[in-house]
Amino acid sequence: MDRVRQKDAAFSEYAEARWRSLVRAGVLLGCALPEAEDLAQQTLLRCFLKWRQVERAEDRDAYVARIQLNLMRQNRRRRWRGEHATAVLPERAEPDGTGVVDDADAIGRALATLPDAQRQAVVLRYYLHLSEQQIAAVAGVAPGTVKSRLSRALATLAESPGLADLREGRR
Amino acid sequence: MSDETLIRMLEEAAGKVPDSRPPIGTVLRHGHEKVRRRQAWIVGSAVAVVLVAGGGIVLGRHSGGGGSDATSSGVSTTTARGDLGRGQSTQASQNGQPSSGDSVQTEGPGLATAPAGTRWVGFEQVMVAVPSEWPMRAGQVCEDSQATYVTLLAGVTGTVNCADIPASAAGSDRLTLSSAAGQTPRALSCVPGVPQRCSATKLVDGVAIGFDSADQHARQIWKQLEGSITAVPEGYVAVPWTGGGTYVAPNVDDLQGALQGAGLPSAVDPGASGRDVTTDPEPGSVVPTGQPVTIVGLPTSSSPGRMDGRLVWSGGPVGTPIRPHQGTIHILGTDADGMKVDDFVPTGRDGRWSYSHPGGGTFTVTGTSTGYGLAGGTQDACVAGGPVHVQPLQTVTVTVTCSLK
Repeated sequence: MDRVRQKDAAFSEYAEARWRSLVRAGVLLGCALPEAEDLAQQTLLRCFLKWRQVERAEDRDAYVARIQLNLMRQNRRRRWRGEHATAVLPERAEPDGTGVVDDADAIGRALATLPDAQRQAVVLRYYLHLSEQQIAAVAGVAPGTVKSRLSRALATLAESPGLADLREGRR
Repeated sequence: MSDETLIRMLEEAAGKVPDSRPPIGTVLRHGHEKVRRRQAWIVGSAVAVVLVAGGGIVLGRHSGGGGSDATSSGVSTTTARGDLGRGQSTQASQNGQPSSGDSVQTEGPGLATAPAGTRWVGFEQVMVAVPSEWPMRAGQVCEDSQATYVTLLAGVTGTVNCADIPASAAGSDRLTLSSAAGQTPRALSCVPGVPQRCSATKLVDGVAIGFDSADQHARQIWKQLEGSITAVPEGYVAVPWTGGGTYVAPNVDDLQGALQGAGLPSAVDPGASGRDVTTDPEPGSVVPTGQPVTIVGLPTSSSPGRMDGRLVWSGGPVGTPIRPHQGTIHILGTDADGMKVDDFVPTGRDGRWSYSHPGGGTFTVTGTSTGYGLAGGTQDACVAGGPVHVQPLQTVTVTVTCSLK
C-alpha cells in the first residue's frame, strides 16, 4: 500500500511539474487547446501506467515526448477514420487578412505550413530542447533524417513572410 | 533565422497558451482502474498459458478474442446437480500435482442423463454438461475466430485459425477443461467493454474448469455450467485427447497410447492412415470403461484456403476513384469435400475482409454494401469477377465491386 502511495506521490509531483509543458507542446505541435489538454492528460495517464519505465528512463523527457507524439498520431488516425463523406464542401481556411498579428500568431501560422514530421522536429528541438539524437529516438528515424528535417523546416520558416518582421527586429 | 530567435518565438507562442490545473486526480483514478483491469487480465492470460501448455480440454462457443483469453480463473463451491448421485469424493491429481480446489461428488450407478439440451463432456474424472450445440474441435484453440467450436487440447502451446468453423449467431463462450496444475481459482469477474468479457476458473479434483465469455448472459451460462460439474461415474471414462507442442493433429500412435492409458481399447479405421486423426466417439465423450474407440481420419484437411479482399464502390463520374466501403460479404459455393458453403463475413470500415475454409473450394463471392441500391444495401448486388478457386494453404485476393453508372 505504501508503495502505491509513494508511486502516486511521485507521479503527482511529476505531473504537476510537466503539465504546462505538455499542454504547450501540444499546442505547438498543432493541437487546439482542448485537444492539447486531452493529449497531455492521455500522456500523463500513459506515464502513470508505465511509471516504472518513466522513472527508470535514461532520458525521461525524450521518453515522455515519444509517448505524447505516439498518442497524438493515434488520436489523429482515429479521428480520420471517424470522418464521413459529405455532399457539402466544408468551409475552407482563409488567410486571416486582418494584418494584426503578434509573434505567437506568426510562429503558429509558420509552423502550420510545415509537414508534421518537420513541425515535430522543430518543437522537440527548439521548444523541448531535445538533441538530434533524442529526436531521432523519439521519432523512430535516423539522426540524419532529423537533421535534414530540421534543415528543411528552418529553411521554410526563414521564407515565411509572417516571421520576416521578427527576424528583422520589428520588436 | 538563428536558433535563439526561433527558441524565443516558440517560448513566446507557448506563453500565450492559457494555464490550467493538471487533472492529477482524474489521471490517478483512471490509472488505478486500468491497473486493476490489467492485473486481472494478466492473471487470466497467465492461466491460459499454463492451460495451453499443460493441455486439457477446451469446449466452447466462441467468437473472436484469441485463444489465450479463454482461460481465466475463479472458484466457488461445487454444486453438484440434485439429480445426480452423491457419494464419495473422487481422487483427482494430474501430472503429479495435488488438487487445490473443490471435490465433486461421484455419480451413483450408471451415467445420469445430461440435462435437456446438453451433453456430458469429460476430462479425467470430472465432467460438465455442455450445450449440445457447442461443437467439439479437438486440439485447437481458435484465434481471431468468429466461430462456434469445441476443442480438446493436450500439450498444445499455440493457437490456430478456426475460421472454417461455422460462424455462431451470437455470443462468445468457451469452457476449458484442463489440468489444475499451476492454475489459480477465481470467481467470475467481468471486464467492462463492448462486449464485456467475463472469466472464471474453478478447480475441482485436479481439473481446472475455465470459462471465458463475451455473452451478455455470461453469469447465467457460467452458473449452469458450474452447477453441472460432477464426477465421471464409476465404470465410465472420458475419452482422452492428446497432442503436443504447437498445434498438430495427433497421429494414430499418439491416440492409441492415450486411449490405452484411459483403459479404452482402440481400433483404427483403415482410412485414417496417413491422415490427421480423431476419435469416434469424439474426445471428451463419457463412455463405459472398456468401450472400443475407433481412431478415424479427420473429415477435412486442417489446412485452410483463404480469401482476402476488399469491398469497393467503383464507377460514377469520370475521375471518381475506387472507394472502399463497409458491408457484408456472402460466400457461396462448394468446398474441397463437396460440402456446400453459404456463409457471410463482415468487412471492416475500410472494406477489408477475410475468409478461410479448410481445404479451400470454389466460391461465388458477392457483397452487400450499405447505401448501394437500397438504403440498407441491395442484397448481394456487389460482385467479384467470377467463381474463385482456392487451394489449401493458398491465399487469393478478391475484390468485390459495387458498380456505379
